[in-house]
Amino acid sequence: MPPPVISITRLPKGQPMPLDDVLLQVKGLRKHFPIRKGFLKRSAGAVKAVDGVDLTIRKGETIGLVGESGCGKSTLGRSILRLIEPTDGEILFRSQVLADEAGEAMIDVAQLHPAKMKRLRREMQIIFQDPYSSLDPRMDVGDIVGEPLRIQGILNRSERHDRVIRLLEAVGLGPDHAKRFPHEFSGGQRQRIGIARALALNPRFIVADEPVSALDVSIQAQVVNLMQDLQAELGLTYLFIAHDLSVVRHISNRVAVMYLGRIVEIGDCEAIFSRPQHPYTEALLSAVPIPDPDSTRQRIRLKGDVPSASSPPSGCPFHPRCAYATSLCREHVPHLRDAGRAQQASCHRFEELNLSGVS
Amino acid sequence: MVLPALLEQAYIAMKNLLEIKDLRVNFMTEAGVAQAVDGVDLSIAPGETLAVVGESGCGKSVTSRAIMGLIQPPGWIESGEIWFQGRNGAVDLARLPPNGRQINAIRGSEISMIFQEPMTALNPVLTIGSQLMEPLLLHEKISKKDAKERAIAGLAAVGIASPRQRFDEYPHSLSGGMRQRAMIAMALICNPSLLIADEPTTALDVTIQAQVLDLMKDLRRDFAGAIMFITHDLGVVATMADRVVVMYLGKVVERAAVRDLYRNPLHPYTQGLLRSVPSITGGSTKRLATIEGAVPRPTDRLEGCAFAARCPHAMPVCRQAVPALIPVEGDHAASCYLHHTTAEGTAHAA
Repeated sequence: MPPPVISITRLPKGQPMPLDDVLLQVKGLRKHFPIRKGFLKRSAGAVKAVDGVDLTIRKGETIGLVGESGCGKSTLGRSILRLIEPTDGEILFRSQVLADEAGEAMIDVAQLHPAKMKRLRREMQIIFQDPYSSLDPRMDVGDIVGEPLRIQGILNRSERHDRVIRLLEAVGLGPDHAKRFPHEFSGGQRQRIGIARALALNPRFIVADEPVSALDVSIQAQVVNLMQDLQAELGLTYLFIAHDLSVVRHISNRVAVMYLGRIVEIGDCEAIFSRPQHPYTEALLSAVPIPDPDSTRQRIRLKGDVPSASSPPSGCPFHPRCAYATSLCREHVPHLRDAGRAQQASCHRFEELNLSGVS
Repeated sequence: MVLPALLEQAYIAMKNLLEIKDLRVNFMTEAGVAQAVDGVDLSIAPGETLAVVGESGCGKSVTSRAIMGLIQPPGWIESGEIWFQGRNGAVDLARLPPNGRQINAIRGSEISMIFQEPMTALNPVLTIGSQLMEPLLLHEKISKKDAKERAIAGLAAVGIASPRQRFDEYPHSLSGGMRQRAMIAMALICNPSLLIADEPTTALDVTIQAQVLDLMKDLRRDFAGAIMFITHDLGVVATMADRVVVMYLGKVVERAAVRDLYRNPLHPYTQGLLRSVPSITGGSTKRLATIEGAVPRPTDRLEGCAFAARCPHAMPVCRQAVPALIPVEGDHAASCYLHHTTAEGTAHAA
């Protein structure tokens, strides 16, 4: 348990800060889950679910976080909110509720005292993947959506009721839905309830962890549109975690691609999709089946499966599956480097490779 | 059983491998009787790949389970026929007792199935090898030694490295993609004439999905059987299918060759589905097209077309009577009043 150090950097008044549009800045974030073995539960290594992630999120943008299962994308999202305690690293967040006066303060979420953390949760919320298990079946919808308000104690009972009705209307549900229970709703409606709950405290930042993956296509489109409308209306910033690259391309301004606990490529959405600079991104893009029977696109066949995060390969973690790997890749870990105007990739060879995207 | 035998004789000449006629499958639920499959007609020719597409609750999986004789209480087959051209002539699978000798001889041998979730479909306490040998030992007169060799060859055919070693391993030591390969090997081991694949790649990551889809395409060159491919993913359909059947709320709403369906979708539901998928190639507008509302519950009894409440083109007639599935252009059929005028003209002429 780290000491409850609170580091608050106050913004000097009237002076523009260099990172003025940055809402969240993650530096060197790690989350290692220990593997315990035997009767004495001795530590026998660790699953490096998130292994040194740097990520900057700007105000009002949607950043898509993609990767295959086990790459650490959900762990990263939850560590940022401290729903999982990170092992190491800084999570700087531009907070309004924790600023002493009217204004903003850059605070380190990773070091925050529990009482302040509770207050900070007004600004950082999450939408979960599964609208079936993330709503308490014994609470009616009014209580579910109003619970964050009750816990934070900001409104009295009748004010809370009014706010719940307004929230339900904002997500396309009616006031009469407040007295019903989750089992009476379809998957799409439940996800709307989850969104209303996430919005209850007027957050600035929302981690959406696979919010449409469990929904049917026609419902998926409704929820994606709703999230975009709410963003435009309320100025929200999204970290949109998904494995569906088509949805990510549609909703994101920027995209980060994760592999084995690290970001292997990050950049502007259009650049990533049309000119990927990491072979893993190229393979991911080419694996998506295109809804066109006449598509003649050749798929890149990746060899094998994702290696275990408890014993990642030497050198570049992607080299055992990479068609372009050389001895350099087997021995030296590549780091994120600038690859174009608004794009970074961690590949030794992107200058010589001419990788193809989808356009 | 003289009369049924005679009836079966009449179908010996059927040109399709499978013909489903007006199939109805009901389930008893707390909210009443749910008509999960509500008058489905479909056919599969030998060797073709038919994709059955639809959203959750449309009855696509229940249809496949009815073919396999796997409908169990609280569900039952209310009416309809499922004619299958077996090795010993045509049989109506809908009338076979669910655990009788006849269906047991067909299931796993002539018709086999790949399930969505390979971890729950494989038995965790039996080795991969013993699970692969089981259908062989059950359906074929074969020695254990030969069965083992066939099983190892089957594992090699689906691209599993060091199959001899994998033969003795348990499902938990295989990755998700490997398990799905083992499932495919198991389903194909008796050379079925019909393989039912129920969302075989939905639980897999995209790169692993691409591997499994490529594998299934490769296998199609050697495996002469037909595939019924059940999915909700329109990208997968375009990659895999020869023909497509679109289902909505227990009914077939459109039936077409894959190219016709994507080039010229006729039913408003199909049009909505195709439009609501964002494109990986970009160029999409700021907002996604949606289908308003939600799928009605299968226990709701609706007058007229089940899609009318969500349909942008609904007319008064749509709420009065169910439109029939009729051919509009060649084999391209839709159940929608928008196309009935043109189609009826041709129907009368014919």
